[in-house]
Amino acid sequence: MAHGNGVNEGQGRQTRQRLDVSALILVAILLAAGFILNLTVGKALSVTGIQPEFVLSSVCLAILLLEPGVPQALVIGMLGATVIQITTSVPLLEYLCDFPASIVCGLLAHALLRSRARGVAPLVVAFVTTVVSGLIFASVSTLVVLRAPIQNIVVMFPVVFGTAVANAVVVQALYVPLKAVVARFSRARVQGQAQQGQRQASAKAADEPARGDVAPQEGPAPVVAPVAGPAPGGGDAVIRLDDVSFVYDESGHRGLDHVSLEVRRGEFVGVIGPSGAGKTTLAAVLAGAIPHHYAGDLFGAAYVDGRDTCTISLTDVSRVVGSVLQDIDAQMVASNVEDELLYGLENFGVPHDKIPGVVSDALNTVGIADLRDREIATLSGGQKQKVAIAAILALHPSVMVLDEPTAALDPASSRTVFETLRRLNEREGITVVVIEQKVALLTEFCKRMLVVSEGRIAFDGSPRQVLAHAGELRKLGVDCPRTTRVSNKLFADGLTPRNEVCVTVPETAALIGRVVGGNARKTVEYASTAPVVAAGGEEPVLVFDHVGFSYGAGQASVTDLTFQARPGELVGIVGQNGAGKTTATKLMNGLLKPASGRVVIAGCDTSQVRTSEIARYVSTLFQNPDRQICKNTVLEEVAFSLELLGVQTEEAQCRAREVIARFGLPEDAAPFALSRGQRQIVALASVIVTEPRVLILDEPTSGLDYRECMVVMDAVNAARERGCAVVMVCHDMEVAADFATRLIVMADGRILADGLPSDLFRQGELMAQAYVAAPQMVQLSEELGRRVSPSYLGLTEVHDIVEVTERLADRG
Amino acid sequence: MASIIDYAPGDSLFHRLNPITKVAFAISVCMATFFANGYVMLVGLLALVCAVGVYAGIGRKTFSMLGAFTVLALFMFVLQVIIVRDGTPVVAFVTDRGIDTGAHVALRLLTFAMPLMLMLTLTPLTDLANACVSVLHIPYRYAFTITTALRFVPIFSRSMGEIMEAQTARGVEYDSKNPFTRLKLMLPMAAPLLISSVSKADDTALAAEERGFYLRTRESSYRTYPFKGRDVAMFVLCVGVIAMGVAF
Repeated sequence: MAHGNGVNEGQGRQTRQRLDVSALILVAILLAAGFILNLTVGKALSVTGIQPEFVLSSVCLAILLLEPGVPQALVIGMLGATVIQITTSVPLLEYLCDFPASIVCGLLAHALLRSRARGVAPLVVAFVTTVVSGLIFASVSTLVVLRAPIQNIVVMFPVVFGTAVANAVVVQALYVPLKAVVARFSRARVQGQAQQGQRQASAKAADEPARGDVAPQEGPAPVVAPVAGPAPGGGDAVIRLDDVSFVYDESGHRGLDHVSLEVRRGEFVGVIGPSGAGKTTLAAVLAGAIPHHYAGDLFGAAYVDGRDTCTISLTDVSRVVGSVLQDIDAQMVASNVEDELLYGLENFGVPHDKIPGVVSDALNTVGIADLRDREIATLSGGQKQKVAIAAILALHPSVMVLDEPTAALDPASSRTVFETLRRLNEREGITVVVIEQKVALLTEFCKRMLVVSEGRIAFDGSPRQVLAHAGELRKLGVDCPRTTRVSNKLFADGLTPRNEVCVTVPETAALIGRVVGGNARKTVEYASTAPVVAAGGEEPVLVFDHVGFSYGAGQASVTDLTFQARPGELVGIVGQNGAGKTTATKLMNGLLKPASGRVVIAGCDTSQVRTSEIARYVSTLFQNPDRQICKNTVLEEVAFSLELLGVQTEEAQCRAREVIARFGLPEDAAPFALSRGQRQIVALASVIVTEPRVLILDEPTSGLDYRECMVVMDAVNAARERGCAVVMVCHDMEVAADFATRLIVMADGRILADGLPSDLFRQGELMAQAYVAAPQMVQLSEELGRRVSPSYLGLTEVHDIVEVTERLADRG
Repeated sequence: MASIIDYAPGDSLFHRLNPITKVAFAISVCMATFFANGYVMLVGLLALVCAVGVYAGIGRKTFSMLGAFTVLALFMFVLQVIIVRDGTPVVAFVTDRGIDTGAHVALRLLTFAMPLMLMLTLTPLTDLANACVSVLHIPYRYAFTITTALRFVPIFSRSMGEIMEAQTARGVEYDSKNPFTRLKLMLPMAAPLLISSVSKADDTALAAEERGFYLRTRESSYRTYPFKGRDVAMFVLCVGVIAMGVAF
C-alpha cells in the first residue's frame, strides 16, 4: 500500500520552503478575481470615491490562506504589485509600496493566526497592510513623483484609511468560506512535490496482500459480463490495474474497490456509471493523478507501459497517458492556442527545431489549424475542448483519458469532439478512454464499454453486450438509449430468438421489419397510452407580443417573438446554439428589456418594472449552479431566495427546511463541497422555494446523471402540476419529449413553430431547418411508418412501439 | 469582455523592440521627469511620449489617455493652488507660487503617467512575461503565475457577468442608496466568483504539473528575446533622455 501524503505531513502548518504550483495558481486566481472585482463590484460599492482595492485584498487573502514564510509572503506581494502595476501608470511605485506592506502582512498573519485573536486576524491584517501600502504610496507619489508640497499627503489620508476599512471588511467576510475551500483541497492533495524515492520504498509494500486491511465488501458481488475474446483493436496491455482500491484521505470515501482491469493498445473504451460511482477516480488512477496528486491510500498496483505508477513520477506517467479534464477552462495554461501547445513541448524538452512541425501536425490532426493565432477566451466550448486535445496530442501520448469532455457542450459540438477522438484512435493508433454520461452517443463510437458502480466494475464488454443488461443498468442508475430498450423488450417478450441489441434507429427499424416479417403493410388498432395534457384554459401568465431585441449590429438578435404560456404548461424551447433561446429566456425574466413589442408577466409589463421586482413572479434556474450559490450552508442558500423577497429570516428558514427535506439535501453542508449534481439540486431548491408563477429553466439537466436528472425533472413536474408555468430550454430531446406539454422550435432568432411536441417532432423539414434531431422514438416511428406499417405513425413511447409490433407479428 | 490592456498590433519600430527595452524607455522617461526642473523639459518629455504614440500608430489612444489623465492633473493643479499660499497673490487667494507649483505638479503627473501605459499597449503581456524570464532571469514560476492570472481575467469577467445576471434575476438589488446595504450585497457578488474560481485551482495545478511544470529549465523557452541593434540604439537614447533631464 502506498500512502500518497508526501513529505510534509508531519510538519502540520509549518512554513513552506517554496510555493509549489498549487499555491502559485491559487495566488494567480485570487489576483485575477481581485482584478475583475475591482472593475465590477468596486464601482458598485464605491462611497464618495472610496472603494475596496480588491487586488490588495487578494494579496492579504492569499497570505492568510497559505500562511507562508516571510520570503514567500514577499513574493506574493510582488506578484500582486505586478498585477496592479499593469493598470496603474507610475512604474515601480506599486512594488515600492507593497514590498514592506507584504512583509508586514506576512508577519502579522503569522502572529495573529496562532494567537487568541485569530477570529479577527483577517480584519486586522488587511487594515494594517492597506494602511502601510497606502501611506507609502501617498508619501512617495507626493514627494518623489510629483514633488508636491507635503500637505498633499494629508489630503490623501482619508482615502487611504477609507480604503483600508473597506479592504478589512472584504477580507474578513471572504476569509472564512475561502479557508474552507482551500483546506478541503489541501487535505485532498499531496503536499508539495511528490518524492520519488519515498514512493519507491512504500511501493514495495504493495505486494503484501492488503485484504486484511480492507473492510468487508458490502452489497452484492460485482457482476462481470464475460468478454467474448479480446475487443477489436486490442493489442498488448498498455495500462493494467491489479486489484486496485483507493480510499480518499479527505473524506474516507472508498473511490475504487478491488478493480482489476487491462486496457489494451488501440482500444476505444467508454466508461459510464452514475455520479459518485468512481469514474473520476478511475480516470485519475489511469492518468497517474492517483497517487501523485490526490492524497489517500492506494492498495494494489497500477502499471502504465509495464511500470508501477507509484515508482515513477507524475510526468513520467503523463508522457504515456494524456489526460483531458472535465473543466474546460481550468486545464488550459496559456492565453492563446499556440502558446497552449508550446507549453508542454517546451517543458518536455522537445528540440526547438522540431517544435513548429509538431504543433502544425497536432492542430491539423484535430482539425483546428485555422485557430492557431486565436485567443482561447474567444473560442466556443467545443473549440476549446479540441485545443485541449491538440495540446495533449502534441506530446504524443499512447493513451488519452478524457473525463466527461462533452458535459457542457451541445449535441453538435459533442459529436465533433467524438469524431476527433475516433480519428485519433483509428489514424494515430492512440488508445482512448472516455468517461461520459451521454450513453447513446458513446455507444456509437466506443468499441468497449465499462460500467462503474460503487467503485467496482459492474460490466465489461462490447457496448452491445453491456446494453443487453438494460434492466440492471437502470437499477444502477445508468440509462440506456431508447432503441436499446425496444430491442431488449422485444427479446424479453420472446419476439426475437437472440437479444439483438440495437443502438441506432436504422438498426432497430431493420430488426422490427424482420420481426413483423410478412405482416408488414398491415395495420392494427392501437390507442397510444401516452397521457395528453390538456392545455389550461386559464389566463396566460407569460405573454410575448411581437418581441424583438438585438445586442448590436451583426450580433445575436431575436425578431417578432409571439407566444403565451399558461399555468400548468411546460413549454420546451429547442433549437441549435445561436438560435436565440437564451436571449428569449433573458427577456422572460427581465434581464433584458425588449427593444420592440411587449413582454407581460402576471400582468406587469417588464419594461416598466425593475428586474428585482419581476423576481417575485419569475424564478430562473441557470445552467451552471455555481453562478448563484453564495452562502455558506445549504439552508442559508435556499432561505436567501425568500429573504430577497422580503420574507423574515425565521419563516424563510422554516420554508427552506421543508424544501430541503423534500430533496433529501444535507442542511448544514457547504454547497461548494457538494458534487455538481447536488449543487444543481440546491440551486433548484432555492428557485422552487419561492413558489414562482413562472419557472424558467436553462438546460437544467446538463452534466447530470440519470438519477439526478429525474430528481430535477420530477420536481419541475410537481411545480407544474401545482400551477406554475414552466419554460425550459433544452438540448436533450428525450427530456423535452418526455416532459414538455408544448414545444417551440427556434432558429435564427425567430420562432419557427409552436405546438404539441408529438406533432412538431414528426415534421422532418422543420427539424432540419432548426438543426435539431428528433427524439429516437419519433425517428423510429416515422421510419417504421414508412417502411413497415402506418400503425406506427404518431407513437412516441417504447412500450407503444413494442405493443404494435407484437400485434402485427401475431397476425397470421 | 475585459482584458487587462488592449494590445494594439502594428509594425512600427516600437512594436518590434524587445519588451524589456520598451519598459526601460518608459522608466527612463520617468526618471528624467523626476530630475527635470524647467517647464521646457517637462513639456518636451510629454511631447516626446505623445510623438512616440503617434508614430506607433496609436495616436488616438494616446490622446484619449492624455485626456483622461488631464482631468486628474487639473484636480491636482487646483489642489496645489489651494495649498500653496506663499508668494505674491494674483487673484483672491491664488498666488504665483501656487500656480507655478500647480503647473509643475500637473505636468509631472502627466509625464509620469503616460509612458508605461503607452508601452504596455504596444507589448503583448505574455511576451513581456516571457522576456522577463529569459532576459532578466526572473524565475519562470513567477512569470507563470502572472500569465495564469492574465489568462483567467477574461474567464472571470464573463463569469462575473453571469453571476450578476443570476443574482439580479433572484432579486438582489444592486442599485440601493444605502452604502451599507450595498456593502452587504457584496457577498452575493464576490463570493460565487472567488469560491468557484478557487475551486478550479486544483484542476489547473494538476494540468500544469502533468504537462511538465517542474521539468522546465531556463533553456526550455521556445520563444527567445534577443537584443538587436535597434534595442542598443534605444538604450543609448534612454541614457540621453535621463542626462537631459538631469541637466535641465
